[in-house]
Amino acid sequence: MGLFTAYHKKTDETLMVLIQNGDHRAFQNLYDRYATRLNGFFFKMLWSDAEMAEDFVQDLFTKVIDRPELFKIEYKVKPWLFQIAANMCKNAYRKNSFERAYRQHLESEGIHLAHIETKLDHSIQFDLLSKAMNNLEEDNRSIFLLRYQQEMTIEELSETFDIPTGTVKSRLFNLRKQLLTAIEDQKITNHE
Amino acid sequence: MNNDQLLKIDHLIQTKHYEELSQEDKLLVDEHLGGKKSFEQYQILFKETHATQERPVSRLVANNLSTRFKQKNRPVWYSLFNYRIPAYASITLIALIMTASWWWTTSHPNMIEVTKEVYLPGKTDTLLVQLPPDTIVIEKVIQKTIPVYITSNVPSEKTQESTEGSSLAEQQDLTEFLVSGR
Repeated sequence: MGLFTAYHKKTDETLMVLIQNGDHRAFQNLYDRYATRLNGFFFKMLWSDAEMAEDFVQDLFTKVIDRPELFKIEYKVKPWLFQIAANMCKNAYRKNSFERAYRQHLESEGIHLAHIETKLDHSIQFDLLSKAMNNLEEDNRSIFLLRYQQEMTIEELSETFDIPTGTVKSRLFNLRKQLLTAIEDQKITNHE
Repeated sequence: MNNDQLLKIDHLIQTKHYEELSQEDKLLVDEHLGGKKSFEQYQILFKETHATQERPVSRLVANNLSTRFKQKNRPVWYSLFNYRIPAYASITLIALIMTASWWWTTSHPNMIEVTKEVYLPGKTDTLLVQLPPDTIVIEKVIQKTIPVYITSNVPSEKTQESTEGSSLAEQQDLTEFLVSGR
């Protein structure tokens, strides 16, 4: 009986092709597979701001709905989605650095916007890992999270960031070391 | 450290305790990570990172996206009737379509003409005619093809009438001929 298609058995790539053809259930399935993972990624990338992370998940899937033709048949869905996510985070960092610069400018002028500062400060979880991670560059943070949070393979990372696998591995090695050192330093500072 | 060693150490950190490592693996870990303490610190780091892999998304987001997807992928006729054509035009169009479909689906009589020879028994009429003496009577046989109309669903009453009409005319001709004697 071919009345009901087992969507959960279909690959991500097949689902994307169905989405391009306007299949609502295929979209629902792809969303169920990736929404929580993308939310976890955005949460860690965007200063542990839960509200912002959800907004970004919605924005990302809105892009998928509005421009499904951006997905090409030769792509893999997982690296493609996380590549979009990483690019969105880059834009958010850019915007954030602009906001910080603007706030500093206002403060230098003697204008103090308490609500902006409170929002930014409270959005950061002050656990050691988050602190250490917040000090990483945006690309490095993405690579680290995609590897150790989202369990992406080296090949998928290479595809996502468009860099050779050797570069991914060496960056990961350095990142781990950097993070561990940062955490140790924070521990020492806290004790003092 | 080469690439394979990096992957192997990653795998060991994620799957084993330091005490469970083989001698060879311990040497590898000690050489590159600096011993048990670092190994365990990496374990905590990876575990903490992995713990945040998934975060539930509120149902509202899913609903918004679902609605958006359905709206975007509505059939062409839906958007045509609801957004692109004024209501009165849509109604007129629907009425026209319904009339046309009724017209095409209802069966109409289809009349065709087929020539066919049919056997008819001879018909004899008796006429009383007063003729002058020494009149020569010539027998005239009139043959006529009678048209038969076949229709799909209308009874062919007309055919009978026309046959009768023809017959009367023939009789009148014959009477005239016989009376005049020419």
